[in-house]
Amino acid sequence: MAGVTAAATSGEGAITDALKSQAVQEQIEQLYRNDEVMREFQMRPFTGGSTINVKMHYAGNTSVSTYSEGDAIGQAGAQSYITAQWPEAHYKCVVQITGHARDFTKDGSNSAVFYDQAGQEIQRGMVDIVHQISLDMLSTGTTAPVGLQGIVDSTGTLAGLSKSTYTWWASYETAGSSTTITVADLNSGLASAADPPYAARISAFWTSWKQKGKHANVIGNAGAANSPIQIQVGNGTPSINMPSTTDISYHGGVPIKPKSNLTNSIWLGLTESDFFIGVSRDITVALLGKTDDSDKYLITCGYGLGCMAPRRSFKLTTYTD
Amino acid sequence: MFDDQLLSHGSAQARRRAVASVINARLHAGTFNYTELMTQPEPLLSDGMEILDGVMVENNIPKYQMGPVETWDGQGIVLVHIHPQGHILGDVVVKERVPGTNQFRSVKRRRDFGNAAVISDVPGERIARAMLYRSGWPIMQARTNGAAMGSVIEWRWLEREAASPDAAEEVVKLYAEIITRKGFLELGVYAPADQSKIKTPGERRAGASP
Repeated sequence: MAGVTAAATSGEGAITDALKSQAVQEQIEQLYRNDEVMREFQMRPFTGGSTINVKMHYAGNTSVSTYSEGDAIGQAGAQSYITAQWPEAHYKCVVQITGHARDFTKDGSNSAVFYDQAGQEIQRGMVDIVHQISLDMLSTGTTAPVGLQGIVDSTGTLAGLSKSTYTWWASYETAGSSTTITVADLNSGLASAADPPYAARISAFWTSWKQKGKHANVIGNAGAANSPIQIQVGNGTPSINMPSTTDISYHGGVPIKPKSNLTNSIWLGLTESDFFIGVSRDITVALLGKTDDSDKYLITCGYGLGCMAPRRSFKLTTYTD
Repeated sequence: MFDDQLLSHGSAQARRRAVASVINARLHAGTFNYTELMTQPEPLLSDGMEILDGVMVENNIPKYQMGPVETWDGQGIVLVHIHPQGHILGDVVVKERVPGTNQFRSVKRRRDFGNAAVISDVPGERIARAMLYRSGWPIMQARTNGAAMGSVIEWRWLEREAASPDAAEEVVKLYAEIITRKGFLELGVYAPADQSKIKTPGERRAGASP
């Protein structure tokens, strides 16, 4: 066949060179990145030094007592304080683009490229850092970078304070009654953490998506034999399994927030307002000095997870099913 | 354990010194127990733990291993469940291999110590201390004003308390019951001859000073 044809793969009649088939003008994200932690807690700027130092008040005036007429008033007492020192971790990402690459892509001009590759490298580098920070903040770390599971724990040394020595610094922590979450475990956790000395004000449960599903199964599912509301038909077979009257996004009025990357075997009951993210450096992009024809960018930031009162959050562990 | 006068010291340093004096004397005499310490109000409780852990506080910042750290000579603490069929459950950190890999991770696992056991209380772990703080009897009752009950009792405290003329009836009964448990006797921390230490309520009243 003569002329311009779709069949021709080369030569004057081929349409190959005219087709924009190399790529579409966008990038579709296929890489999973976690950003589920940083948006949850308030930010606190560092005020100088390598830690955010917070004075913890743990005992009242010791001179308080009753007295009778004519008694000597005795010595004055004082409140007791200990300083918690919350650390931070610096994060970095290095991006480099050569002079040749910059020239050939015309600095990301639309006339030359489908997308600004150098710009994307920097932008995606920031997302990579946020992902790493999120994973660290969900971890068991007790030194920089400190993780949520390290904070909500009954043992260990956190922010320079040993939870064994300073019992008011320890969280309530217990293993589940079985390997599958139960309503009783969550109720018990809420009650135990609410009692002295923990005095929690739990505002959310954090757990994995799998555990949230397990909880839903425990509450009961519509159409399944474990439904909490069953209407027997005839002699009881078959039965109509109604939806649960309980909204399974909550337990005891406390919302359940499933978090990706959180260890699958635990449930955390958090007093979220106690947590903060210390900021020693916001995300910063700096152009490094030239040593060759390349441009090298350094993306940096400094963050650290902290908590004003770890005792006001609790942890249930050992859920393997 | 502590005289109320300890709380009347003007400075925190003086109070800490006084607490250290009491605890060191008790440790020397072999009469120290966690239960008495854990039923003390703050700041005496934290003061006491600082002494046991060798912590010095400077400018409100704790410095560790600045003094002798109590290790109980590696002997641990004898804990007994208050119910004959009860099990003492505690958290221990174990190294587990990540399935399918050669990587190991430290995870906290619940361990069943049985009805009576000598529980490790080495610095850095303090397993017995953590168990008593979380579920000690009568520590929990004292802390929650009876809202929650402890389940684990410190033998050293019970032995001492049961021999006291002021001992509560349930303490004496618990002591008398525990020393008949086979599992407890197998620990070898109690010799039957010690039973002479227990006095009936009448004997205790008669023996009490007027």
